[in-house]
Amino acid sequence: MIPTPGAKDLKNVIELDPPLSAKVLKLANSALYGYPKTICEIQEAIICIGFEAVKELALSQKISELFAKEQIINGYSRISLWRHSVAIAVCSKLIYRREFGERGDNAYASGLLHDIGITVIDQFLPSMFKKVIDEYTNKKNKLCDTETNILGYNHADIGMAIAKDWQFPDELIVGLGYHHNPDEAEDEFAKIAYIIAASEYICQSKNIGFVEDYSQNKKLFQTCLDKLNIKEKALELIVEEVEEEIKKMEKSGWF
Amino acid sequence: MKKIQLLEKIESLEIQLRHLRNDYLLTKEEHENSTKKYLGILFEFKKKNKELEDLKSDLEKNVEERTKDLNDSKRKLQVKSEELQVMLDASPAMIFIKDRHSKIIRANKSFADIIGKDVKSIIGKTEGELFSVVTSHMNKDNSCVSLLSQTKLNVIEHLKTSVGERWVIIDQFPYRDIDGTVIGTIGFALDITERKHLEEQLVQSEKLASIGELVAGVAHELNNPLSIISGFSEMIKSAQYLKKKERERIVKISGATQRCSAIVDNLLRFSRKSKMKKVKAQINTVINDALSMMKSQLMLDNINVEKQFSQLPLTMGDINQLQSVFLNFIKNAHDAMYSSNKKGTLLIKTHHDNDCIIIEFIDDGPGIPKENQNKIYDPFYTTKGVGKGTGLGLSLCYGVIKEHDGELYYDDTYCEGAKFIVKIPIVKPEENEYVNTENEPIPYNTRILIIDDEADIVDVQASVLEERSVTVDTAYDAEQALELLGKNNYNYDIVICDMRMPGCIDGKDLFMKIKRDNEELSKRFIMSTGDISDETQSFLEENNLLFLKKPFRIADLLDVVKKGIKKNK
Repeated sequence: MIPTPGAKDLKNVIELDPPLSAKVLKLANSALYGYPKTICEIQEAIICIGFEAVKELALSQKISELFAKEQIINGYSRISLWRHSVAIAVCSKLIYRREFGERGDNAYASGLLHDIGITVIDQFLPSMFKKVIDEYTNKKNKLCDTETNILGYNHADIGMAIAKDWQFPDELIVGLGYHHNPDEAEDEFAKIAYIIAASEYICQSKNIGFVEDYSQNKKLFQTCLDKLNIKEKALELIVEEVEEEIKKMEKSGWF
Repeated sequence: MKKIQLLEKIESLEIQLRHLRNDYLLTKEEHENSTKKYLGILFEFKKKNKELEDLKSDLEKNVEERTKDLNDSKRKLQVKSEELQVMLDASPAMIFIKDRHSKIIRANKSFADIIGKDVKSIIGKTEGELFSVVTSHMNKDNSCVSLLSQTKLNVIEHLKTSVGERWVIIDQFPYRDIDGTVIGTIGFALDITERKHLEEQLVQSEKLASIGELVAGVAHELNNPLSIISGFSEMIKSAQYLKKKERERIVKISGATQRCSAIVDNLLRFSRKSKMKKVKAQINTVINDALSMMKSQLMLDNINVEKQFSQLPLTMGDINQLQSVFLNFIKNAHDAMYSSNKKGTLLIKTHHDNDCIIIEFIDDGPGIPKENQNKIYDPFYTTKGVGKGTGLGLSLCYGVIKEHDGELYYDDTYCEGAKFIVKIPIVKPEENEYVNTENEPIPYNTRILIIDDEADIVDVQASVLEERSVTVDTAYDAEQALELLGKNNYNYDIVICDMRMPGCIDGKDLFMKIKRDNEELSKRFIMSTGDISDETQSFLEENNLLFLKKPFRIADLLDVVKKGIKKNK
């Protein structure tokens, strides 16, 4: 998010927002990280639990605010969407790490934000959103198609527009815009779109959080595996870790 | 089936192994990154710390410099302050600064000295607490601001201080702070007591000078009549036909005349500075002469005189003047003892050391009170009643002794009366040309021309000389004299001429004329005058003139005539 960010830049950004600082410190001190010593400063947190971890913490905290107010409509709840987003984020990150031995710097953020479009529709077009959810729940098809039918555009289009407007890195923009149709993404950044799409499939199969596509497009999933050159077995192993992670997060009060 | 399960298991384990290896590598890399970043932060932190340290030490240095500056300024201020104090203290003026409550906040040494305390104990006091004012022209209540802001100049105050009553002249100026607000007064005071005394003395001496001129005039006028009385009374005294009673009376007249002459002489001497006529003198004899003049008076008034004389060397001195000095002491002692006890003893001691002759006059009278001791030399200071003393006595004595390079002082340690000490340095006498002519006769057939505007003077001189078979011609002014000289072809042994005469030719002019026309006669020209001024003296000396001092005694006249005749040969 922050171009060539250093530990000091991150610290400065977090410290500008006192409630965020407080939440980050609370999480850094939680059982999830299990650090033996009480962490009192953002700088200390960066040193103790790592730069990436603090970055993810801060990001999650900020984005979780979007889901703070619970809204339940016919099988959709903001918390379930939040749980789904976190799961995709963790899963994407783990795929990068485990399968490719890469840090996948934008994977966690892309996962966390890939459904930001849904939140936008929820908050800015509540009545339309209810209509979309109702129809989607009834028909049990793809959410994207329902959205396009009713609104003329879907949440991936919205996410990509926002990402462009906010001048997110190109990888992120692709991750947000093509997570349902990674085949259409530019080759350079298609990897992240395939990974998110694969994560969606595998997480839905484990029933973690909100469901975006009742149809469970096995063909798309297989294409992803082929393109990424990973085995389904590997994803199954990773999703087990994701489930454990989500459980730990639940205990630490993430949801 | 089992084989497939086993294969799957192996595959799963392989995946897990790969995952773990990847994660391990990543974690390691991340850890390294973290460490690197941590070190970066640490480095940055250290850098910041160092900057802080630098800032701190800069600050400390600044503080130190500032402190040093302050200390320097303080020291400079102190030095300036000390300089100022030294300057203030060096000033003869009393300088003081008062606050608006008239309390002294700064003063210099002169100020402290006149109060007789040190500066510190003066600070915070008011003027009123420090001085008692004898007479004041100052508004005492000058604490109110409007009065403070006035400048007061030349205020003269008469103060009682530790060093006696002093006159001071005070200038006061408003003391303003930087904004111009009056916060006190700055004062400068000068002790003008000395000046005041000098002014008084100046008045006194001006008085004296005018009296002196008056006296000189009177004295001069008296010289001629005194010469006449003196001359004739002496002639009568030596007449054969006198009865004893008559002779006694004429002797008294003669004596009184001599006294008058001495008085007139003194007055002239006092009013005009004149050169001493120093001759070989034996001080013991001079004292004895003075005593003998007072003898009858002293005996009459029960004043006993004790003499403790030691053998004294001869010295040079003006015998007449020294005699008048001694006479003055004897008279003063007499007056003091007689007026207090109607009797007394005067002890006169003389002795000498290598340089000085020391004469002491000690009486057992009341002495001189302390407060009068410094006034006794002032002219016209007298304790005697009106008409009894002129007050010139001691001051004249002082002048005479000073002329002899001696000292005269009152011994204030002596308590049983008054004790005056006179010291005269011993001067080795010059071989004196003094010739006693008393017993020499005037040669037979001597011819003398006497010129004087006062007929009786001519008469007395002519009478004396005619008695001694001298042929005398007389003239009453210079023209007559010149006529006679021409008629007789300058054929005179002696010319006796008054110096001051009315008409266009006076004694001096006549002498110069004779000197030009007949130098031989001019050597036997005798100038007679009562004028003993320096001008006259130098004229006489320049021309090596014989000189008859008026009023004269017969012996003086004869002596000078004989000297003139000797010059002829």
